[in-house]
Amino acid sequence: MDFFKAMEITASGLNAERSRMNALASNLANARTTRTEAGGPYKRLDPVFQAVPVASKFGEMMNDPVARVASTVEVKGIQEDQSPPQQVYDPNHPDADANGYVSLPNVNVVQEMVNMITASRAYEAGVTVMQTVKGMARSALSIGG
Amino acid sequence: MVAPLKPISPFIIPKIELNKVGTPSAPGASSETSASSFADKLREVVQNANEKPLAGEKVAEDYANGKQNDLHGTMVSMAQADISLRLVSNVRNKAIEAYREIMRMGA
Repeated sequence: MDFFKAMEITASGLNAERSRMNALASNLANARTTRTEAGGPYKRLDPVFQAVPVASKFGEMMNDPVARVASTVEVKGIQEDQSPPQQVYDPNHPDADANGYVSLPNVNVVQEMVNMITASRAYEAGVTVMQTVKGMARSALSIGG
Repeated sequence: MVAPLKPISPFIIPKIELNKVGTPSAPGASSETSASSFADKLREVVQNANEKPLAGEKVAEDYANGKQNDLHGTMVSMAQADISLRLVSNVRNKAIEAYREIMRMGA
């Protein structure tokens, strides 16, 4: 496991946080969207992450126990939140039903904001790991003088 | 997606055989004298120095051209290029230093 592997793993984490941020941006942008291609109100999106073992050479795996278990993260897909839409009474809305209720997306803006903070901090953590790895590599280089 | 990055190939630290030190070949001299002369090793190291930075440059260029829009992937590649270049330039410095030291022995 060289320093570059750590960088690859961290880069995958940054990718994951970026897609979470994209899904979040979509959720917030569509917080009040009542029409979609599939029909009905917009449904909240949530990315699904999966750990993928880091590809290592056989010899490396034999010598380094970390290489056997270390994993990068991959976005395996995006899942629609199936919780029911919010019902808001607004008889003047063009998409209101017979009783005057509009089905609004199941997006909770407060919850999305909290998720956004998590994603942003997780991204920052990834960047910090990257900088630390870089610093370690550089200080290792200073041994040679 | 971050392009899969190949680990830098381990380069061979110049091995100086004591009985050959009497006739060191100048850097840049042809490699006819021996298959693994000092100059060859040096050249090999410098060639290795080119690989990662070139890859980093390519990624940066792709980003500028809009061929890919992976911001942190670009930065990671550039950081890797930077570290590789530093490593190889350190090795080069050491090798040159060792070479000079040996050349000074005769004087």
